[in-house]
Amino acid sequence: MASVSFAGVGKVYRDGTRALSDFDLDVADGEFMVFVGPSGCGKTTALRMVAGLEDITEGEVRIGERVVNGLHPRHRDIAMVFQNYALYPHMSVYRNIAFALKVRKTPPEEIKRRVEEAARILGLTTELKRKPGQLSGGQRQRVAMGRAIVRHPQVFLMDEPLSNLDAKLRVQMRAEIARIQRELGATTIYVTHDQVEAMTMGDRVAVLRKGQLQQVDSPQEVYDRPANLFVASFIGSPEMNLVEARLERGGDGLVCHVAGRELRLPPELVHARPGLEAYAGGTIGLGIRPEQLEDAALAGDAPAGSMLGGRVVTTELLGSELLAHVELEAPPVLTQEVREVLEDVDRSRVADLESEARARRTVVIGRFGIGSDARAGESIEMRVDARRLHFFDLASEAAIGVERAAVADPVPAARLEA
Amino acid sequence: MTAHRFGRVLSYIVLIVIGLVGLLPFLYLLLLSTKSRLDILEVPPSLDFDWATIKANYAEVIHEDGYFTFVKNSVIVTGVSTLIALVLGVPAGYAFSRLRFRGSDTWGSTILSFRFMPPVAVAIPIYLMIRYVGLRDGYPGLILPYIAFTLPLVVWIMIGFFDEIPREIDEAAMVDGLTRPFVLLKVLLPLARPGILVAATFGVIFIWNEFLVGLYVINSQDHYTIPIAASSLLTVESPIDWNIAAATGIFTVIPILLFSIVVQRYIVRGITAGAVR
Repeated sequence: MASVSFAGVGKVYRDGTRALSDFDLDVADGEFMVFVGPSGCGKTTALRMVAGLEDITEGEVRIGERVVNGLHPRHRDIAMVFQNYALYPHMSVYRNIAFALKVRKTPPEEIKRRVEEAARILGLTTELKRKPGQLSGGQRQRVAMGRAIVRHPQVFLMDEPLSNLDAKLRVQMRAEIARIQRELGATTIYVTHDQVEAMTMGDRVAVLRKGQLQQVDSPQEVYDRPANLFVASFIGSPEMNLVEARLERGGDGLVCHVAGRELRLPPELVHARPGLEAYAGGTIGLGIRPEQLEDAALAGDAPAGSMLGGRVVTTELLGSELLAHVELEAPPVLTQEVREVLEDVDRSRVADLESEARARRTVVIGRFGIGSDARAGESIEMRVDARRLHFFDLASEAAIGVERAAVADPVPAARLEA
Repeated sequence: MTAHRFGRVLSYIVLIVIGLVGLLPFLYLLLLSTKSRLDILEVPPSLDFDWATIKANYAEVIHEDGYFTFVKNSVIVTGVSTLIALVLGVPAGYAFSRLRFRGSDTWGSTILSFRFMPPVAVAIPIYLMIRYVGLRDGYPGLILPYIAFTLPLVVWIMIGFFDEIPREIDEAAMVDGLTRPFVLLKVLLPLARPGILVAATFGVIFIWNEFLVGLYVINSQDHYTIPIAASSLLTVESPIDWNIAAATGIFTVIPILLFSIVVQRYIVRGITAGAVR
């Protein structure tokens, strides 16, 4: 196993397109690192540069202590799982998995032992004689995994390996890949544009946008302290509600004026966001996660200055919770970064948000308890958990009081020993 | 009768007509090859077969005209030319499909345009060049131009087939430890087999039938290929023996027919099923 480090790595394609710029990142030995971002953000390019499938036009990539720029993929001691699996269709499952070992002139008994071990880990023991064409999507995915794990490589590279599976299988394989990675203790770089995979699988998550690293941190940190509007709206499902609010001094602290109401900010929060006070008197972007909104009828006593009110547009009962879409009389945050995230999901969402912006109304989503009797068309009072609000500078799009260079240290090896 | 059945019957009728248009001349040829000289002008030809006449016709083609020599010449020339064209053309097609190099796009289409040149346009210069280097009247004098004619087609067909194989397979093989040439040799050749056979079939059929260049380059009967030999039956001195010509025609078709039947069984599409997704 080995660490992987990127130092000032950039990629400019021959036609002049820039896919990655000034990318600095250290992936620790044994760490599970997830690269996440919308399509075209450079995550796959970065991965392929580690694999040696893409020239490194700027900077240096190291695997362990070795600079690998210009090294052929076969000399890098890496294994890769491709989005479309790229199995060898004319070879049996056994030969697919054994192929790399055979190429490397591994003794036959050793090949047999390792292939059988990989097949056992992946539950492919009975499929070894079949051809990829006879397998289900999930089984093919496992074969692709098997081909990588028999190698015992320095680094695993995975390029959206689950995106071709149906939803149920994806959840299952997500857990399985995370388990296998932990069992093997292998340094892994995993590329995905699914933020749920990013949240659930990685030790750390690197969020990319337009070839630039936005934030690298543990999934919880990225969720709790997004560095900017892009990360805030990209990570989380349903996504963070973002509305414009006026920040004022009021009484003994700061208050947010939003949708005709006043949200009193707890002193601890203001303290934890240095620089927030300077925005008093100005307009900021206010971020509220859906779970920070609760039906006031269910929330019990609410202290003054922690309520928002609006009209319920629609509700989705999910069994364990109720998602209420509530229209607030406040303009949405509609910056370039928010637009980009929406466009990646669905272009029509941008048009929706633009018309909301014109009407100076925002539909926010609240994650209510199932006891709520929020009904479409009725107005509702919501309790806001003000301790975990997010604040953004509307001009720079950066989070206020969260260090921009929020690159946490690699996960220490201690995690592996635990 | 339902409209559906009517449609089926109609389509069968159309297919049978098309089949007959293609097949009738050949059947007529087959019939002619069984007739004696006196009977060949009979219209419509009778269906009486005389075993002795048939034997005489075919024996004449085989023994007196030296048919087997011509077959041997054709097989050697066709086989060697096609093989060399494949050995050169398959890696070239792979390179055009996968690698980016100076002019890789322009060259890809330029190569195909070479193919639009009919042999008649270049037959004389080719003949002069062949004569200049002293390769006239021998196998190499035919094989060289035939490779030149076939190669563009092979390259072009192979580009198409390699384009259909996902690049990720190459990449997976490289990560697994192979260099480009070995990726082609060990992983892609088995996958590209249908393409190779298609290219080979086109090459073989073209070379087997090629006449003009052969006519210029070859002088001695020892080196005649089948098309030249067949044409030599029509000479001013000998009256035209249509029955013998027909028997020669049958012999000409048989090898290429056998080749096509064998090869088409292997040209199965969908061999890449299961590679991706």
